[in-house]
Amino acid sequence: MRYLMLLFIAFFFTACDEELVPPVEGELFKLEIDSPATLTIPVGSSRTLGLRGLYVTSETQSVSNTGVLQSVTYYHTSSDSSYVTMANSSAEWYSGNNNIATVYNGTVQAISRGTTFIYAKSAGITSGDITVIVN
Amino acid sequence: MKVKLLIILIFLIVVKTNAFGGDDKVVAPLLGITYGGFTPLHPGFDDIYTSTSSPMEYYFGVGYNKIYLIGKFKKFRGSGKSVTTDVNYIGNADYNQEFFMFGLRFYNNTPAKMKYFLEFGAVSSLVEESISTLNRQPELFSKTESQEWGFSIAAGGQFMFSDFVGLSGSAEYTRIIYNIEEGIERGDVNLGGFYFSVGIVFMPFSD
Repeated sequence: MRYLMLLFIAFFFTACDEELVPPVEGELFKLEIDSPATLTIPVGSSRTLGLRGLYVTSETQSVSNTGVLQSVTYYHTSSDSSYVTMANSSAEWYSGNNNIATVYNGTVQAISRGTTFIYAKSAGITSGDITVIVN
Repeated sequence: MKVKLLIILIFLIVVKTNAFGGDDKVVAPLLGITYGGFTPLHPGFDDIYTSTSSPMEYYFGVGYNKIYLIGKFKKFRGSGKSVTTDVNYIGNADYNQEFFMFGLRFYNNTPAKMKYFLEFGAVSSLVEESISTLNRQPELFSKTESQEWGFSIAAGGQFMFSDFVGLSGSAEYTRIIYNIEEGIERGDVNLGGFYFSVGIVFMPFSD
């Protein structure tokens, strides 16, 4: 009986749990690496960057206007956009020269001196380049 | 103005002097104007149009031996709110309908003071409707118009004050079938209605 009560309470709280992070809806429109345009890293060190996406949500509503002899329908599309922080693992990361710096899940590892660039791709959207200077 | 009056006078004289047959069989003109209430028979009309006009009807004719060839015209108007699916939109609707009727009016053979008649005719109706929204931009406006044919049947009476002028009253039914593809009611709908009216009639040389 006690076990059943605990099970019920657990179920109750699970059912009433608020979703603190709303799910991302809409379509990814733009991908940005959360970093300065130029990143300077000493050889042998690493830096973890962030990733965010601009999501666009559009909604089409129809309004009908009806009279005795006619009925016409109009469509109205409204759009909304917002930046959402994305998990680094949700994108594929690329380095222009893996001999200078590598990047994996947003973490840039400086290999040798030189300059290269990194970028990320997700859902067919490519971010802008970040210049990486390894000194 | 004088010229018009002269033409009318000449016309009346010519008609009188060229009357066919005896005194009881003459070609005589008929003029009239009535005022009354029109009740549309479209089943969804009252859902949209809350305000309607009381149309005046103008008619003229020429008759011989109690039978008159007659033409009539009236214009009916309505205004109200079109039905929108979004509560944020307030609909607006305007309705105009014109009736042109051509037919025959048959008088009975009662004495001159009181006359009764039956009337049958073909009706051409020009109907026009505009719908829009009042409170949103862009304004959602649409207009449609159509010309349809139908028929009408009327019955009435006339009390003649004198040999020329009388008071008339009549009831008329009009049937005009229109196939509505989009609208508050769809399918074949009667755009006619009932028209009850009273008026003045000028009927010189009728007896």
